[in-house]
Amino acid sequence: MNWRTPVADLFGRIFRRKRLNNELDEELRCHFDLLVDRYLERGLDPEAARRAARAEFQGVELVHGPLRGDPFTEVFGGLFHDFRQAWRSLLQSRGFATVALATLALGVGVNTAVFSVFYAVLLKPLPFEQPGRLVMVWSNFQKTGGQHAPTSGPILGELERRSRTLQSVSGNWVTTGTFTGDENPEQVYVAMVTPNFFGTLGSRMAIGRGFAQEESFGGRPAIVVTDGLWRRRFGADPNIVGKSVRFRGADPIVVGVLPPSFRIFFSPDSIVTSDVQAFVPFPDNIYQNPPTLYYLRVLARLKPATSLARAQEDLNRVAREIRGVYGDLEEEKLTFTVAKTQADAVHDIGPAVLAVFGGAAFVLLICCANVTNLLLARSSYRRREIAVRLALGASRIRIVRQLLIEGFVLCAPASCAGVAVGWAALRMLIAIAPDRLTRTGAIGLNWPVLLFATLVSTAAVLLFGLVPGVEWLRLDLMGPIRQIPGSAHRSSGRRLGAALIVAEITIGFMLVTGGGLLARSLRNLENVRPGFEARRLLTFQVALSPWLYAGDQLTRERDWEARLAALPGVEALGATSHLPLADAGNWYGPFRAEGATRVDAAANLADYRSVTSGYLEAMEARLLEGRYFDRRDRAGSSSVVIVDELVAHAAWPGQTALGKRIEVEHMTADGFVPMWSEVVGVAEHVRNHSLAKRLRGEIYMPYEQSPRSPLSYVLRTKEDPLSLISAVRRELRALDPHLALSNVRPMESYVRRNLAPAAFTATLAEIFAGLALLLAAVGIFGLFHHQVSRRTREMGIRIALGANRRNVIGLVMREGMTLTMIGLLLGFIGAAAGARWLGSLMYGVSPVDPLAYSIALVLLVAAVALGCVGPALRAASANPVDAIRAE
Amino acid sequence: MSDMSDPSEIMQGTLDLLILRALQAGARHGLGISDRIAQVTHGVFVVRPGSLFPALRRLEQRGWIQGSWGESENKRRARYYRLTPAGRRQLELEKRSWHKTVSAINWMLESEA
Repeated sequence: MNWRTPVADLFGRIFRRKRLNNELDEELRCHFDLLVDRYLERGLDPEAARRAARAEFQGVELVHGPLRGDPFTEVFGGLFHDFRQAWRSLLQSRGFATVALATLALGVGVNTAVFSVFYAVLLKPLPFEQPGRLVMVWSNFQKTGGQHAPTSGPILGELERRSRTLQSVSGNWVTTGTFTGDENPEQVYVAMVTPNFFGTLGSRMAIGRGFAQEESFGGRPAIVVTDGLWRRRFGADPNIVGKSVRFRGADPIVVGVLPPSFRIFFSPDSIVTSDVQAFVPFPDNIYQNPPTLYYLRVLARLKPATSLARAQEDLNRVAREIRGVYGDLEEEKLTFTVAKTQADAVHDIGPAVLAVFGGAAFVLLICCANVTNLLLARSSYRRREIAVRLALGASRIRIVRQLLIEGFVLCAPASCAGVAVGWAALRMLIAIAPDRLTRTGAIGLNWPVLLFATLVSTAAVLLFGLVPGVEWLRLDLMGPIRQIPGSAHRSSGRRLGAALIVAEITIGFMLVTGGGLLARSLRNLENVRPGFEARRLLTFQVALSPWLYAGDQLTRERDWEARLAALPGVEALGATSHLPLADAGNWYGPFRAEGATRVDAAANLADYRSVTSGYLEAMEARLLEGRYFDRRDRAGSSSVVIVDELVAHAAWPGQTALGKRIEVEHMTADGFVPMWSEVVGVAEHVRNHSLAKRLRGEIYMPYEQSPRSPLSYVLRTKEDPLSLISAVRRELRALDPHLALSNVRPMESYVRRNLAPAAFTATLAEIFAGLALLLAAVGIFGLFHHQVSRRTREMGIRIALGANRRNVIGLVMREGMTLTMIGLLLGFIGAAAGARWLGSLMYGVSPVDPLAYSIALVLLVAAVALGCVGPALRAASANPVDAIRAE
Repeated sequence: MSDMSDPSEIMQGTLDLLILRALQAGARHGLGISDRIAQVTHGVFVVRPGSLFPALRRLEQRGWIQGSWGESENKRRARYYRLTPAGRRQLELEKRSWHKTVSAINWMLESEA
């Protein structure tokens, strides 16, 4: 069938109607002429003949009625009339219209705002060429339990050579580097990459080019900078390409500047921050690294039209082949996981966003239930009107159409208001959102979001239009006309209304319970001891690389710590290579306990931290056994480590760790070198990565035996830690004007940032719970108010027959509580099932936490009681005489 | 002689039946139809345009009659209607049901009180 046919048909019908009317006019004119002829024949004069003919034509205008029986006209004729009528009837009941409009606008608004976040975080495509083909390849060490782990240079080479589904495979590693060469040294995150990195991403340079093969692995030094760095540090110099800059103790040549839109997106546990501002090729040949030096994050591009499943199969084969080549990897049972870059980047925040989205959808459902209830209440007032119209010959299609139009007239302004509410709500949402959400990209109202709002509103129109319609179309015509208004009757509408209230209470209970569980989780997380004391702790980072290059870093670092310690207000201080909860870079690797076999050794991975002697004490990390580092632990003296309780337990279960020897990797001038060291202390575990999880054990090494740059300093202060910042800056400038402070923050801000996702979900869940309670109260008020006003006569008679006020109030309250009990029972089942789904968002709370459930129960019963009280009092005040006379 | 100028006051189907019957002998225009009805019913039913044209329109939409433009005996343009095969069947049907109704009513009226 030609697509044009239905369209032509539609126009045909519109014009045919016109044509038919023209033909009718023509026919009537002819008929008139014939009549005139006849009267003339009978001998009347022309004037009298015309008059006589006109007399016969009385009533002819009725012929021009709507042409019944034509389905097109039936559905579309008189649309304007229906719109006007719907608008008028809405104006007539302003109270109803206001409540319905506000409720709908609230529902649409909340959902629009939350969907904006949902879209920006989970759905919006990454700004790269064909982003659907970008994947991450993670290594899994089944023996060591390491999932989602980086890989090593040789494995990267094998992946490139052996895989048949990957078009290009790139590796990267993020570290820090300092631009020097002028008065303002600046420390930035820098990504070391394989030369094909930008080609794999599919991003073009704004100026210049990406890396060439000969610039990698110690070839000609080159650097690519981001738009932000180019503008800030190099004054947006258009001729920057080809110039050399002073960076990390070398003079690389700028070969390219990235466009402003460029951003990389990796999950936070990949330790590849989006704040990377410079890219350099790896300075050494990574393919010749030890095969078990795992630090590379692998980004790859699938060949066209390759599914993720096929790529996974392919990499399973590659892993089998590699295990056959490298004995170490066979022991560790290496496998690969391939994941879409986009999904991988948000895998940690995804559940929170989904839960919030689900909560918002529940709020919308309650809003819809409320508005439907209002419409049902209103429609029952209109039963007589509809029945009369049906009896007078209005077709059912016509009535349904009018209902839909009324739904539309209600929903269209509500949707517009809803989008406005959504816009405002989104501002607030972004203000409280954790930076993980906003970092992923701009969140805003855009076309997909508006499309979503439109879909929601359209669904609402259909729902609100048709639900009352179903009742009306089953209407027995004579019933409502004969019916005594105000008499109690059990209509399907009332049953539906009750069912909606039960549904509202069910959903409300689930939302309030969810809010309670998440609030309790947040409280538990806030009370977690992270393994140190975060209060009154100032932190900042200093890149010591210039001292490292000069070779006098140890003495100068000691000098620097002495200056800091002399500042008034400083109680204790120390420094570490990696600050807990900072999520900027990590250093971890395998360790081997003395006496363990090689296979067992592979089972142990730990975070490595190079710390100065005062660090653990300044952090107030508790010592469980042995001693802290002190002045004895110098470069050249015997190699020592402090391990945490997790490492101690894993390596020597049931024994003391003190005096035992352990092989750990030290940072030396030659890179990472495994070295046997003696355990001198056991410290409490520090939650380096998340307040909610104990990820890995820790091994601390004395800075002087394993020097690294940059160092993060922690200053335990007497007063507000921020008051010391200017003094610290002054000292550093006095000591070495080439060094820069960065990331100056109180420790508590890292803790807060780690709490932010939980705080975000808990806050939203509480808002949703509050809305649910309010809406449930409004909904039950609406239903009972309506029922009571329809049952005035019944109440009047009851009172006349001797029922006292208390009985009548009890009657109404009892009905309300019956509905509530059913709703609560269903809600309990729903909440218990749904709480499991919250899963990873809960911390230290059982999915059937009695406190959360009891609070939800009390709050809902209170909300329902509040909703019932008004109507109950009104029922009780029914005057028997008025009530009966009202008929 | 009563002037039943508004046939809608009698049973709804009656006018349709009269029109269909008037067209059984051949095509007629509107005035021809009302003339024929007035003539055959000895002036009991005089169908005026206000009733005639809605009825014609209805019958045409149901597909029982079909109209086409032609020329009247005194050389004026007029729309002629003829029965369609469906119209013929409908006429037979209505005739039968009418006879049944009339007989039933007659039996009732002529029965012993």
